[in-house]
Amino acid sequence: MKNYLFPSRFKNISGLIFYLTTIIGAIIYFSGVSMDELLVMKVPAIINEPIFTNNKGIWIENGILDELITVILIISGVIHSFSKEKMEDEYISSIRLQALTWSIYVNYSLVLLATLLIFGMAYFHVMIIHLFSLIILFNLRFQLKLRSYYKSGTDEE
Amino acid sequence: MKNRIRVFRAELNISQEELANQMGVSRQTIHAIENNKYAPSLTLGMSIAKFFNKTVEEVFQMEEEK
Repeated sequence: MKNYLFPSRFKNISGLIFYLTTIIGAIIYFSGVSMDELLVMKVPAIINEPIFTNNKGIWIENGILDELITVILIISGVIHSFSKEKMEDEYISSIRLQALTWSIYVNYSLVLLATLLIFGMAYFHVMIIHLFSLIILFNLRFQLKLRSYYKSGTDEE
Repeated sequence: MKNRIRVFRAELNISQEELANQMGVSRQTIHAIENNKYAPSLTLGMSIAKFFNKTVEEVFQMEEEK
């Protein structure tokens, strides 16, 4: 049966990139550094509705650090989440599915709470965090469950 | 669902690891099945039964509802 998973050789390197980018991205984001002023270059913009600038046209000036972090984090996160284990079997698939279900419930519960309780610019930050929260929650849950899976059965034959 | 994998394994004197290798799954998965923490798929269940030369019903039994 087709399982749409990446080969296991991608697991470690994508994990390293994912966790490093998550930490670096979080530090930059919460430190309040304006990412639009870093790595500025001309980029194509199919849709652009500038809020604070007069940056109009198909080619606009933009700091690409935030786009770079977003792209790296999503690609590495997806590959890390859906790479096969060295011994991928049906029990691991079921653990992965349970972790995915759990993370969707938790993630959207948090979004619902935030929607009802957080307003203004703070809600904009919630939406930014929401871009990555599902994949981060899923990975944390899945790795935690995998850890107890690999620890299981060490005491008997 | 209960099973008698541990009993049949003991009869053949094979370890979880050896059975897991034969079935193409990890030792932890065999451990989880033996301890009723995981109900295997039909394919794996039938493969295990075939390995022990038993019927599926001899290896796996539904637990009676109380």
